[in-house]
Amino acid sequence: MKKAELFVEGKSDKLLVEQYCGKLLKEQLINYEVEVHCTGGWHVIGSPQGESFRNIMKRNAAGKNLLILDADEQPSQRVADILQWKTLYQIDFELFLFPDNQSCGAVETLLERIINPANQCVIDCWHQYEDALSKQTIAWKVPPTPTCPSEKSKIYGYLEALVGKSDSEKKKIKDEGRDFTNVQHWDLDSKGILPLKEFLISHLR
Amino acid sequence: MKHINSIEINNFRGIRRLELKGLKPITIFLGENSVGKSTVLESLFLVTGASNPFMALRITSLRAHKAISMEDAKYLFHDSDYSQIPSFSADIDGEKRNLSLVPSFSMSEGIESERLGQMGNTQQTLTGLTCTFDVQGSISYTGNSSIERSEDGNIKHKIDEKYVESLVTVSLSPYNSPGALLNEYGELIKMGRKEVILTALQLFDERISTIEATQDGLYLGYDHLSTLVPLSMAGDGVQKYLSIAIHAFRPSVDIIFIDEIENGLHFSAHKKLWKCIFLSAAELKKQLFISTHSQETLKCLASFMEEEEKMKDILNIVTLTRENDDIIPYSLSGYGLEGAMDNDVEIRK
Repeated sequence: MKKAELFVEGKSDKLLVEQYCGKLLKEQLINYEVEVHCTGGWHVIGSPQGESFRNIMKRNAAGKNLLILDADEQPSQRVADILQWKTLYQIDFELFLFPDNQSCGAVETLLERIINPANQCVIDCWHQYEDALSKQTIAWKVPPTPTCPSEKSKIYGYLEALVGKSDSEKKKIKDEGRDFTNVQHWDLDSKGILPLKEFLISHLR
Repeated sequence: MKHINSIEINNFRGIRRLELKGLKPITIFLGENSVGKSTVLESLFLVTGASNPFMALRITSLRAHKAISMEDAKYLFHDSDYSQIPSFSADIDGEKRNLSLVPSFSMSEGIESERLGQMGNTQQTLTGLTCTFDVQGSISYTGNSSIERSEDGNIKHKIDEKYVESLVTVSLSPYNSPGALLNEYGELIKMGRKEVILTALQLFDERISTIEATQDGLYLGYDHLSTLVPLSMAGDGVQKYLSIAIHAFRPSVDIIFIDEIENGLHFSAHKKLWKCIFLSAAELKKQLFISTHSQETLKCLASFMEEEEKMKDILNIVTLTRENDDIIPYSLSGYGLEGAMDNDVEIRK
């Protein structure tokens, strides 16, 4: 089987991509052997510390190298910055930016779109919490408005509401303990994951 | 001190062709078993003693764990094919060096050759090796030295005495013991560097209070012992560590080759050894070529680099990989090592 080297930012991203590729392989929608590498941040591959990742890509010049990173606030700028690495370092790769290869956001944005619909009430409650928080003021704080919790916190909160209280259950909340094939928590057939699906199939068939 | 900046290796042992560029004061070779790490170290070593015909046989006898023998010289040739001449081209701080190992033969009548089914085939027997070398730099020279096995079985040599080798190099392989080190330590005492070695050794074991040179060898003094201990009784780890430290701090040595640096050393000693090596490279401008298999050693190196950021600039790591009959090198800087260790990237293969 041909080899694909995939590069993501964090541990949760790695699990999501590994498990989703496993599903696509089972469904015979892709036919590459996939290895997923955690880079620790979108910028690392292009930094001095990213040499080992660039070497992996060079060694896999006959296979496929896919970068699946966060778009964050300015997707177009992110694309431009990353594509420069091809010339700078003589590496070749395909790029996908979470959540859907065109919008702002990150992997957590995508995760919110692929929750099990039966659990929507948990996310709705979180939005109400965020809304209520934004209307509060704290006298000593500058600015006085409470800081809105991060997208990561939302996903932690979502999972925390679904799992039990034991230590083994709590492990499922952390980035490295997530199971995206757990259909009670996630829906990997959701419309929200289609852009990623199309990207993977187009390059790994 | 002179440094090797690049080398091209052709037809030597398992290497058909390999080019290494941008070599730094400290280069560490990684790679799977039998990829050619030791062969690369041997190549670099040979080119630093291009006029010495014994070096090629010496490295072979070390591998074979036996006395120097002309028969084993056939393993210097890629695929044991005498028509493919092993050759090396190096840049040593702007000086170009070329070395070739040219075989010579005697023709002898062979007994019946079962492969060919004929009586009395002549067979080539390797009886000699000529090192043809040229040096192009501030001084240019072309010459050759040779070794030949005579009819009585002894090995005779012919050294090109007009050429004086300017480089002093030391090769420490897993196949040879650290040795007595007496002369080398004596050199350091004469230069007033005894304390430097003791300080380096105390990084390894803080209980060591002294190193003494006697007629029959080196002895170590320990805080908790009333008598001195011969170095040979002190354990493999301290012998290896001391051997590296002594050569690293000998001002006369330009380049040191260390194969499988982790052998004989407990992991707790690795970071201390890196500190010793890097300090000597920085202070005395030495060059070291090292090979390792050990992830622990690399982690200790990365940990040392966190504390000594500027040392990242004098390190490069070369992973050798095999693709069909070719060896492809992939380089990492000290910064790349940091990233690889932080992200659990396997760089040893």
